[in-house]
Amino acid sequence: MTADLATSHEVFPSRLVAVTRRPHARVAAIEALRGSRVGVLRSSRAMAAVHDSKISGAEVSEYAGLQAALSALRDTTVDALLIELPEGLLALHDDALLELGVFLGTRRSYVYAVRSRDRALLAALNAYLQSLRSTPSWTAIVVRHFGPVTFEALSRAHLTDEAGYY
Amino acid sequence: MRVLALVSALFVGCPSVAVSGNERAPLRVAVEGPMSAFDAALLTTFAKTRGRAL
Repeated sequence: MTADLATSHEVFPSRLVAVTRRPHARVAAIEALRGSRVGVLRSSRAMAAVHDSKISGAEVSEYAGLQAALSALRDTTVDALLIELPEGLLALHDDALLELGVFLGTRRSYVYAVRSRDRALLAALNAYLQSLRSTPSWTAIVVRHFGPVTFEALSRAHLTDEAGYY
Repeated sequence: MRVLALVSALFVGCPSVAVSGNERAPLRVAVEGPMSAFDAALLTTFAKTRGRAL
């Protein structure tokens, strides 16, 4: 991504989340990651989060992509993955044994980017996103793609306001 | 063809989505890697709101 890109309004919020797979215990607190084997995606912010959260003794393995990381979780090469919430929700969709645990890191926004000079396109995209998110169908779209636990997860990650919107 | 270059950003490893088109040619979505169904749904509808077929 270079400086000639401008970003849209938020499409979806995110924080890092610890994902485990039963029968492994769900990681309910950061302390539970200490001394464990943690999988992260290469070049993601998860490695820095492990350091910043003072997760001592964790053995961190990097994976090139989500599928490789999920495979390592399935074959118990790692105890937990530290990935972005949308990735965790999509993974949950495909594997009912996965569980979302503790959230780490600050809120980030999933956005679309357009070339900076395409101001009309950016304005149209922002208007579209704002309009879509104000309709009841937005909830249906989110649940259809990310699963029924999405809004509970967003709430637990403190990514929603008092009215339940994010 | 003028490239509007709409790409999904922020998450490293997130697939890129390029939307191309001009006044005469229909909007075209090109995806590098698997685009999520969520992005596909949103961007397809967005293209339709702009009166252009994918």
